Amino acid sequence: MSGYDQVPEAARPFLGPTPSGKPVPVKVLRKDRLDWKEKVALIEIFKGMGFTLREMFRPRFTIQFPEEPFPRHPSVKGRPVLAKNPDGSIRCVSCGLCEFVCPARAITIDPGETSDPIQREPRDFQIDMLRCILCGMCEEACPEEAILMSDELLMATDARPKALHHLEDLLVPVEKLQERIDYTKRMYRKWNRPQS
Amino acid sequence: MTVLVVAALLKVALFIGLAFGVAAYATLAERKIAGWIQNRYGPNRVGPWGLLQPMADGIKLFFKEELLPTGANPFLFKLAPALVTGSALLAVAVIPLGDALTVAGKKIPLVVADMPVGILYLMAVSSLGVYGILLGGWSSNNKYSLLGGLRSAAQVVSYELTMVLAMATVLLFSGTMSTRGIALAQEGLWNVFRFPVGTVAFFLFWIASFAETNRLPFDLVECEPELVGGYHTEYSSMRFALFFLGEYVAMFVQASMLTTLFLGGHTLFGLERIFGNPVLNVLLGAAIFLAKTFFFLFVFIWVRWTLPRVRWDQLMALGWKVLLPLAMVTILAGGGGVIWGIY
Amino acid sequence: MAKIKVNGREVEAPDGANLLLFLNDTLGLNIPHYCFHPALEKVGSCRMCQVEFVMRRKDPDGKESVRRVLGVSCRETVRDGLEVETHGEAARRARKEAMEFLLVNHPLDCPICDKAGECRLQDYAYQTGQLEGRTIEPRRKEEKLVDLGEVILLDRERCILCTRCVRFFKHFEGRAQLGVVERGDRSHIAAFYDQPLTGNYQGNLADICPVGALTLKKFRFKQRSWDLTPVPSICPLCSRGCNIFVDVARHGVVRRIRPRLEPEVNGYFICDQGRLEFDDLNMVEERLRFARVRREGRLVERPMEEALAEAARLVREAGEGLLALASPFLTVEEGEAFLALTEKAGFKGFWSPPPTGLGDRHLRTDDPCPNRRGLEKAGLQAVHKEALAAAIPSASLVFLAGERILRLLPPEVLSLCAVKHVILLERVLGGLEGAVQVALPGASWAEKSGTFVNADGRKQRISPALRPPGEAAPDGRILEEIRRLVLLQGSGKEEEK
Ligand code: SF4
Ligand code: SF4
Ligand code: SF4
Repeated sequence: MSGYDQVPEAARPFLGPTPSGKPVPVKVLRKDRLDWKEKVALIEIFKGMGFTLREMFRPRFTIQFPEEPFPRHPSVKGRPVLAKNPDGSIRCVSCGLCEFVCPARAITIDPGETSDPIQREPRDFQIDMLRCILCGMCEEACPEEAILMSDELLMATDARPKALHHLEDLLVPVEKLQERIDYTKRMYRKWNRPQS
Repeated sequence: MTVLVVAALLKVALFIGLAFGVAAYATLAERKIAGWIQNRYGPNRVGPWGLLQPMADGIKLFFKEELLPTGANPFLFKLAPALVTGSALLAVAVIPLGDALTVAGKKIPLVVADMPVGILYLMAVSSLGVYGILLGGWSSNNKYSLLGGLRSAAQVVSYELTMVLAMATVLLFSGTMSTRGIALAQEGLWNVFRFPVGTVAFFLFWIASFAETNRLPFDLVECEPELVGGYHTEYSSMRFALFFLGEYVAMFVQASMLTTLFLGGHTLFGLERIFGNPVLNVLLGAAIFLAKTFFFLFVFIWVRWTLPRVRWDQLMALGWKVLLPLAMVTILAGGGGVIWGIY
Repeated sequence: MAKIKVNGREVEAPDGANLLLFLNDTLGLNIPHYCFHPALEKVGSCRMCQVEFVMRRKDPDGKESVRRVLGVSCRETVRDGLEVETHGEAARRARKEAMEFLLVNHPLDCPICDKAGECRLQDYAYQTGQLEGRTIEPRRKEEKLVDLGEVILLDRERCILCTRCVRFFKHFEGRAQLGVVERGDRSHIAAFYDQPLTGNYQGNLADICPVGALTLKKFRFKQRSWDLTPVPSICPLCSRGCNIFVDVARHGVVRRIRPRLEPEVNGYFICDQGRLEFDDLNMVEERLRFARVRREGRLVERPMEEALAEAARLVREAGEGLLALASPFLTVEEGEAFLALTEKAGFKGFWSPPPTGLGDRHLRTDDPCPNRRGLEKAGLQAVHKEALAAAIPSASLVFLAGERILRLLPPEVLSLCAVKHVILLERVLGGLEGAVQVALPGASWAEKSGTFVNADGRKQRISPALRPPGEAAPDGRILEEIRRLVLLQGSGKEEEK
């Protein structure tokens, strides 16, 4: 026998004639005749009008986006930014790991000495947001917790040069990024280092 | 004489401004109410609460490119939108906004043209609008537009019968064809309350006015899913805007006609005369009139965002098999009622 | 040949070879080491190359006894019967512990260390898998920035006291300049009397230091090493022809030049000039990017084809009156192309600058021509100042070709050229703006491939590390193209076209 028997009973009518050639009677569940109430449809019309009238006074669904922030979980990967310490110093030591790991080659670092000549910090740090794919690899590679994915998602500009973010555009006080730091610490511990 | 001329000019300016203003803000209301029904805000970016949105739309439409399809008949193609808007504007002339003012000893009724045959005039010019749609559909050289135009003709012819019969019922009651006269005749009792004939006629007229203005659920003329926009598929820029404007002015006219014929125009059971000052009373009357009209406009919009479009055959069946017989019965009953003095 | 046993397998090894070198280079066992450097004396102080020596002895009563001893392999020479276990438990543990000791005081500077990426300490730390320290005592604090003269900086915290640097000066230069001072955990590297280092070979310290303790000032914080693409090439600064790597950053900038091992020429080292004088490869502003042609008295930028055709016309019309002078920087191939182009010229040759006097007994020679032997073999004569000065006034057209020719020619010669019609194939316009009829944008040695023949007659290949800017092209290509056009114009085909 064919696979006919394996088909659930309810679906068999769709298979056409049975193997024996006799068509399976199809049972129609829908009413094929409307009663007079349904034909006139007046009641339904008024029900519908009532429904839409009620909906008019229900609270709005829309979030007024640019003014009204919408809640974002720390797992959101927005524009990568550089953390600035409370004392104003830059966390990044321009080690170049993010530059190297970036699959889109969006990062260009111009390293330089700090006022303390044994320390290094970026003189300029460019992220080309036209190239960045927000993958977060830079964040994962950074040994200093200096580059972090912020929750900023508005990156559109009207001119190409504006899409090239420089050091001063990228610096963000570290307190604003604390949630993300905690989150990534937790997650990277979970993913990268199985605790023995 | 000068007073009359000046008053006439002022009234023309006032009514045209009113019609355009109402039409413009009706588009805003349309989108706002659609938004509310769908739990959104609707346009709220241009000006406070989006109040400048119509201007923005207008400016935008002005600067759009005007397209002329190949193979279109340029003259008719350009004429059609003007016909639609023009006929709708002509109809505004007989809207009785309120009672008469007395200026310099002359009585000036708040209607542009208080003609004795106002209703006939109204029917005549509002039927002209269908020419615009028909011509626009035909001259676009586009099968969807043509279908839209055809449907429009058929639809308007079908529903105009019902509409005229319902109107005639009212004429029986009021005994005048002047729109102002009709409104004043209802000071005692609104036609809609002349049960059952007036009420039925009111609903018949109301339903027919949906078809007449090509609004959902009867907007088979535009019908985006089937006809890509129907008769105005090929229109762009201000020509398109004129169609749009015409539609909303027509809505305004229909709403005011509903008010005038059935809801007593500017009257409100004597309340329209509570001020001692006649000028204030006239203004109050106009406000009452507009309030009723806006209620109908609101219902137009509300229905649009609630009911689905009917099928073409359903539309025709409703028009010919239900509404028209009902309207005939109504007018017979109305005539009987008037003869036997029930009303 | 000696027969030795490594990890239980019999292998043949050259008698007297260094065991560590043999194990690493021939067998590829990758035994870590810090203090050992093939070019320096072996001291065996870092203890990283420890392996297990298996010693078998027959007792008088005929019984064989086996003794296993840990020892450094860098101080052992290959001899018959030697038996070593390199990756046994004991050897591994010994190396791991040595590593841990080295790391006890090593700072975690990797993110800002210029050596990171090519640091032996990093490599072996990863290999031995020591990811976390076991000490709780604070790390040794030392001076992190010691200026050792014009070339080198010393970071004492990072130093692992392998003394390679000390031995480098002692054994390579023959003149000690650095030493280990103090004792125990206070011992550190210092220059004698804190005098700045001298000599032309200081830069090599940055290469031989296995960690980031000695770094180049010029390379400091410039680029991470993994962002550099090494391109094998030949140093063109003198006739030695040292083998080098040109390290190019990803955006097409030369960041560093470092020696490439070539035992027959330069071994492991190069001189500081060759290492540090590469700034003109990164020249941007002054560079000729597009060809220029004199039109109505002014030099204007024109498409390359037009400039080439113009140059060909001038060369053909000049005929005997052409004076063609090549730069000593031309490769052999370019020299041949130059010769072919200027076969009719009345006077031709390559400019031979006077000796620089920079030569020493190590690598650097006095002759600043990287390719004298090659050009001479190709058939070009070396031209000196007197001959040139005598020939220029009678020439109708001067053709100067090749990198740095304007810089190498003495001012007297240039002023003689300045009143002539000149075709210039160079990277810059120099001081000849008034005389140049056609300026063709050439390329530097780092932008072309070709052959240099060094002072000992050794042919060596240079390869392109950078792309020439704009329409600039390798000199050889331009010379060949001009010659083709000269022939075409001569046969009248140009007009037909
Ligand atoms: S990985 Fe971190 S510390 Fe290194 S350059 Fe990038 S942001 Fe700076
Ligand atoms: S998020 Fe990804 S693509 Fe963007 S800069 Fe970081 S590594 Fe590069
Ligand atoms: S400075 Fe470098 S080469 Fe010199 S002893 Fe220290 S680690 Fe070795």
